[in-house]
Amino acid sequence: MIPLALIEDALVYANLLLMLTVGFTLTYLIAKIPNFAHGEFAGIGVYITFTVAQVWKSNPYLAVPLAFIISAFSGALIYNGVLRTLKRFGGTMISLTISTLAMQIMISALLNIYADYLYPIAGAYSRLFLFRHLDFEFIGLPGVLIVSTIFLLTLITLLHLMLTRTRFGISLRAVVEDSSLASILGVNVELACTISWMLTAGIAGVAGSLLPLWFQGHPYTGSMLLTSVFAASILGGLSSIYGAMIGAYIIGLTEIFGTYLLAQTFGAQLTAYRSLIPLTILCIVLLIFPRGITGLIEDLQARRASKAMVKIRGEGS
Amino acid sequence: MIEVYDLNAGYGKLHILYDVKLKVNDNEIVTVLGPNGSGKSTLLKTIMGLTTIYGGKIIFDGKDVTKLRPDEKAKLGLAYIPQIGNVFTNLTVKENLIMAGLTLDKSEFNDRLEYALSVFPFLKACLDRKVKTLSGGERQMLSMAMALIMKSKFIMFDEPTGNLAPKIATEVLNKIIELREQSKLTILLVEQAARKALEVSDRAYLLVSGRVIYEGSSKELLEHPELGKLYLGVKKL
Amino acid sequence: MENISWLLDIVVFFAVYLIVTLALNLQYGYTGIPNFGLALSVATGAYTTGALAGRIGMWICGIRSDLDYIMYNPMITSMINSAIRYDPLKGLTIFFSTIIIVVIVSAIIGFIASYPAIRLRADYLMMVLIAMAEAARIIGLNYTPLVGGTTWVSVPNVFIWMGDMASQFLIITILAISILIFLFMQYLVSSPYGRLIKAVRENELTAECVGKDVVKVKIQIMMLGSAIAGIAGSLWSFYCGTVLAAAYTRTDWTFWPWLMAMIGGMGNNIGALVGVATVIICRRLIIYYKYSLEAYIPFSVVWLEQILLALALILVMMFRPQGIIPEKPAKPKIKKTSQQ
Repeated sequence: MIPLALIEDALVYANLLLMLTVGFTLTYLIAKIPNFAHGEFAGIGVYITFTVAQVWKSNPYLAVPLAFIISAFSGALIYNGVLRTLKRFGGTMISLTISTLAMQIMISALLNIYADYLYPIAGAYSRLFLFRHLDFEFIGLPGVLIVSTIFLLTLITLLHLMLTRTRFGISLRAVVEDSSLASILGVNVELACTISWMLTAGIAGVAGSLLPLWFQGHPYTGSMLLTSVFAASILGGLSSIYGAMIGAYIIGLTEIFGTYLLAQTFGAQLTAYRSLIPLTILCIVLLIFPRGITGLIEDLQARRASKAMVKIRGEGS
Repeated sequence: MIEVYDLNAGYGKLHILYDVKLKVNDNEIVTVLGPNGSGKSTLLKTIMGLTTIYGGKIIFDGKDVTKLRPDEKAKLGLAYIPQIGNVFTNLTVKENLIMAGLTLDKSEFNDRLEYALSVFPFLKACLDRKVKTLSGGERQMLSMAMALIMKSKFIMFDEPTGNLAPKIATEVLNKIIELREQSKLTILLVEQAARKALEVSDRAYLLVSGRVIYEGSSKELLEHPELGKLYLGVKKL
Repeated sequence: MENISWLLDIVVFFAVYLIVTLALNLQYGYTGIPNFGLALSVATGAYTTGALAGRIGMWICGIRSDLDYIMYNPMITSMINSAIRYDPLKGLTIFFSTIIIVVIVSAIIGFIASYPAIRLRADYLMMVLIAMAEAARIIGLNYTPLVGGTTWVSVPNVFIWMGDMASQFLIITILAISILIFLFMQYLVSSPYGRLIKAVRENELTAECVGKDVVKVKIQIMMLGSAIAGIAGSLWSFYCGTVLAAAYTRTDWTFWPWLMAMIGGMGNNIGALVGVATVIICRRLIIYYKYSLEAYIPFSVVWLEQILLALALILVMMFRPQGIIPEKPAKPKIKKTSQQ
């Protein structure tokens, strides 16, 4: 009999992971590099919730829009201040990636400084906290589960509509494929990139802001989530946002249920090794089907298409 | 309509174009010829703003556009159809056409879309198909259709007959002439198929090793006895 | 004596980080494989040392093996130290046998860590290696039988038979090993194998076309680099006298070495030397003036160092990506023919 609390754990975690993974994959598609600082946008969200809940003593859900704005702003700052500048100075893919690592270090340090600074003011454990008790309940389910699910579904729908129906979304997909051609056709590529960085950073910020309502928040939340984000992204296939969504849910559920199963079988001390689960899945994916689920689907479609071609040609001759 | 002075450009530190001077008047069709590697594509890309400019000026419609981004030039009416990478293979045909009409407003786009589809009716059947399912020739047609939709006064074509069969190549070049007649466009054409290009254009430039070595009327060049040698840079004028 | 110990401290830092940076230079500078999981190899060396040096000591000195190594670690370590106090041979045996095992284990870990992604794009490799380095830390922190988990294990003082000069002798040995590794690297990169790895870096496709097995070369380099970085971790453990699992963070053992290699100049060993020296001197200055700094800045110096690390990385990439000592392009040896 699976405890309800575990299912809630898994769903909340999977929801938050999905938000982070979609953003990570989208940034990868646009910038062509992995953004190692992506987790830190969530970290910013975590500490905004702490500020709102513990320092201002307000409803933690007020932190959500604030986290979106501040994280989005940070994303724009990083893209324009660091990445564009580096590109202008002749940055290669590797040096751009290193710069995201540098930003991860910097934001992490800033979050730590902020946590230290808040300690005397907030009078609580600014370096480790949990706000489940501040959450509301609705039909027996924790508020964060409901809010995160609603946010998620809205996000997926809006994202899909934007990418397929709006000119901006189509331009974005065009930039992803061939930014030079998009530019020739009149797309302000840098603006499009900035907007998408803001979007993905903002979404990560929202994920981070909801996190302390169920899981413990601390300065390293962002970087600890990164392994799972990588696994989810690569499992889904770094070429597709929809793949990212599937990958995130698989990794999220597997991580939580897997840890539970291991703890039941081998003892509670195994819960500390939780992040080895996404890492193992990551290695398996890389060894067997590196293009992820999206790659598998594409291969399947290609095989079907070539079978159809053979049929047509066969009929022709 | 467009003038280029003392243009020196290349890719990063690789200097390709040397002191290029070129002019295209309103409603003209001008062609740029030259052997492989002479910098013809680089010239078009430079005018569009996709390369590194070391010196010189580009004047479009009286405005100095040297330092503008490609999308800013596109909004001013400068268009460029590359040789490769001229369609989005992961987008559908319809989405590609939408991209072509990005700078247009809705009603104008619908009109031009109708016109483009009437010129290339086969596209009507593949509107929702991803471009990667189209053949090479079909993609080339699509890029021509996109050219018809673009809101531009001046279009640069980079080897539009590329890898097309001769019959289709002639069709494409005829379409280009039509564009000049019907839409009052100005055209700069880069071509390997020198004879065909000279037959459709008014004036021509010969570019060899990044320098302009000849400029004159296309008719004269066609009848020039030493065209072949000039073309290969063996003989200097 | 005070001043010399301060200097010797820097020397050890320099030697150990030089070894790590040389390993990184081998992998990225010469072969073009970006390794962001260096800390994994260093940690492997350290954890192996922590787990094995004492156990080897127990075995060699015939100390009661019924004691749990981790629980009675302080006692066991002091027993080992007493046993080798007058027995240099046993001390040296512990030292060198540990290092040999460290080399083997680190090489194997280097293989395991790089294998999944070595055929794929650099992005995948970077992600996997960073994740692996984190996993190593988690295992070290939680698997108590390894190095005591959140407490620590002590490492036998293998030069204790030198009496008062034990620590100085250890430092000199570490320095000597680092110089040996430096000379080995210099030899390696000027050999045909060195040309091969540079060819792999420049143009994999071409290298493959002339029949070189690129994947095999990359795996070899990852194993070799990992082994060398493992040695660094091991030497550091002997110097510290303890192994603390939490200390092998990616900031300390991946990012600082990257900065050192980049500042000095990737793709040449002398650059590594210059880079390590530069960064260590700067860091020492920061620590030295820590107290005066803390008066001006409202937060801990630890975070300041990290911010400076991040800034330094970005600034180096923007303004001097080739480093202080850029890599010299290889001059082909042209045979003088009769025409010249």
